[in-house]
Amino acid sequence: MSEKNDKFHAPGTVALVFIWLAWFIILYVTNWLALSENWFLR
Amino acid sequence: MADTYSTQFRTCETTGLKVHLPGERLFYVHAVTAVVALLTGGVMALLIALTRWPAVHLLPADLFYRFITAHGMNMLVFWIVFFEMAGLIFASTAVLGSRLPAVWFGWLNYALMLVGALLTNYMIFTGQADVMFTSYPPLKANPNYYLGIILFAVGALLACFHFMATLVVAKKEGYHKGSYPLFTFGILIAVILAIFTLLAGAATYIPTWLWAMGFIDSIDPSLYRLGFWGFGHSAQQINLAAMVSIWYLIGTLSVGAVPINEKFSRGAFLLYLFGINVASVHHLLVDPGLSASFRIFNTSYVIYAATIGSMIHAFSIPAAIEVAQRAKGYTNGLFEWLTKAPWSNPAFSGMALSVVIFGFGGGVTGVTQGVEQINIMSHNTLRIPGHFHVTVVGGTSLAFMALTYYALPLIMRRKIIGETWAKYQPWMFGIGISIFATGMSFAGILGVPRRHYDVTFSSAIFQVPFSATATTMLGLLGIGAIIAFTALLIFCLIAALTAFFGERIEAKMEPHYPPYLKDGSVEAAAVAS
Repeated sequence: MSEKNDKFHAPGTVALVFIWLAWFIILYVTNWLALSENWFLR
Repeated sequence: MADTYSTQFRTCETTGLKVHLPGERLFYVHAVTAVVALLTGGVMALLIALTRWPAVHLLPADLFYRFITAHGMNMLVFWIVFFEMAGLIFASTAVLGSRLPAVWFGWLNYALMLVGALLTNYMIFTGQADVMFTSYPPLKANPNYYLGIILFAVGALLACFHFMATLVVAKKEGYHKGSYPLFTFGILIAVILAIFTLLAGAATYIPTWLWAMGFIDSIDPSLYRLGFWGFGHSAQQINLAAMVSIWYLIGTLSVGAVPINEKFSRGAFLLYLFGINVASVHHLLVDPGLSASFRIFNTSYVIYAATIGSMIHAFSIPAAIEVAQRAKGYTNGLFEWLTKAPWSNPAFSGMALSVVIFGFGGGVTGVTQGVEQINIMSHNTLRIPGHFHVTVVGGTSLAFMALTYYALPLIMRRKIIGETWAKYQPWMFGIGISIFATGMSFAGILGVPRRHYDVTFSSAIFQVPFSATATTMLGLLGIGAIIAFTALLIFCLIAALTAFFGERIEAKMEPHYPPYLKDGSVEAAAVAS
């Protein structure tokens, strides 16, 4: 790995990004599911 | 010019920053006033939360609405803006090593804000303005309530211009050369947002003031709401820009973090500038006065520009901290850099908790509830305050508290009293507000309305029964509020005891001449000395 790449080496933060993304997807999808159960299309 | 002001500087022995002493005094009074407003709003918060808790139901209806008004104004406006004005002084003088261009003008701004805050609070606590924070017409308060807010806003607006004048002086007189540091740049973005916000506030409150005095017959409620949220929500975007700037600053001060890509971070601040204010329309998502296209464009599209900005910051700061920690040798596994971080430093733990609570709590709930279709379900339920308490309190207020732990020794030059308490205070506050917001959000999901003093409708002729889970969640809200309030009290005690009785750290007085004169030569400055 080049010296320049070492400067940006932050794998822990990448893991945090995916944890956050998973949490966001769960929350977002759950909200739409709740909406679909409470708001019927006629 | 240089000789007149050169003796008014001291050198901070920790950071090496050149601090302009008249600016330091102004910082001091703004910060102390902010903490007084925080304490006032905090006491109100506890009383409101204990009323929300059905098993306690503390206050009668009139006091509940009065204290909600006081809580909103003191927390969302006075605590935050007084602290931000202190931040403006710090970002433009100490960070740039510059002088304040007109000290008397700074004191005038402060006096206007103080008189405005006192007048508004007097009107609220004497029962002449039970209109809540939003004061939607046709609710009408005593004209002096609106006058107080206008005076406060004018003072804050002038302080924003003073900040910009300081930036001009810093360049013109040679105190600073080149791009502004990221912290100052972020605060500059906050100031630009503040000018828009305060002008929106003037456009809303001045006609309302005239209406309250009888000079205008009526106020269009729809137009008022549009203008009010141009002020009310944009004010929270100032907080956002200021909070993120503080995250960067504390990252640098605590572990020596350097932004990985400064241009990228500056670009993210610009996304706030262009995307965030129109997103205030998300307060009007169920408002019948605006077209669906207008509401959906401004929320489900423009709001994402701001969201992307926040995501960039929220991960660029941990990345900068990780790189700094790895450079110190904490390279084992994915998270040694995190576990070996200075968690006992209250400034660092406060900042880190602020990032987590804001990102995992406030950000995701904000983006979700900002969608029109989902807003239909959440609007006017406790889910909305559940969202903004983790952004403004768990995010902004906690970041401001964290910065205070650096400001006390570095700017106010006092050794912190109660350091052990300070270590635990951010944790206690963060956990308390998270429990509080969880209870609030889930009660809202179960349909409990916001802005209502008795959700059991105990004396109503109709019954709106809520599930036992909703009641449990309201109890959780109360418990979280007690924990968070205790932590707030500890913070106020530490700040007040340190500011007034802390052991004084002697100032290292050193004449400071503009290091860069107009021709850019450092040598010329030496000659001037």
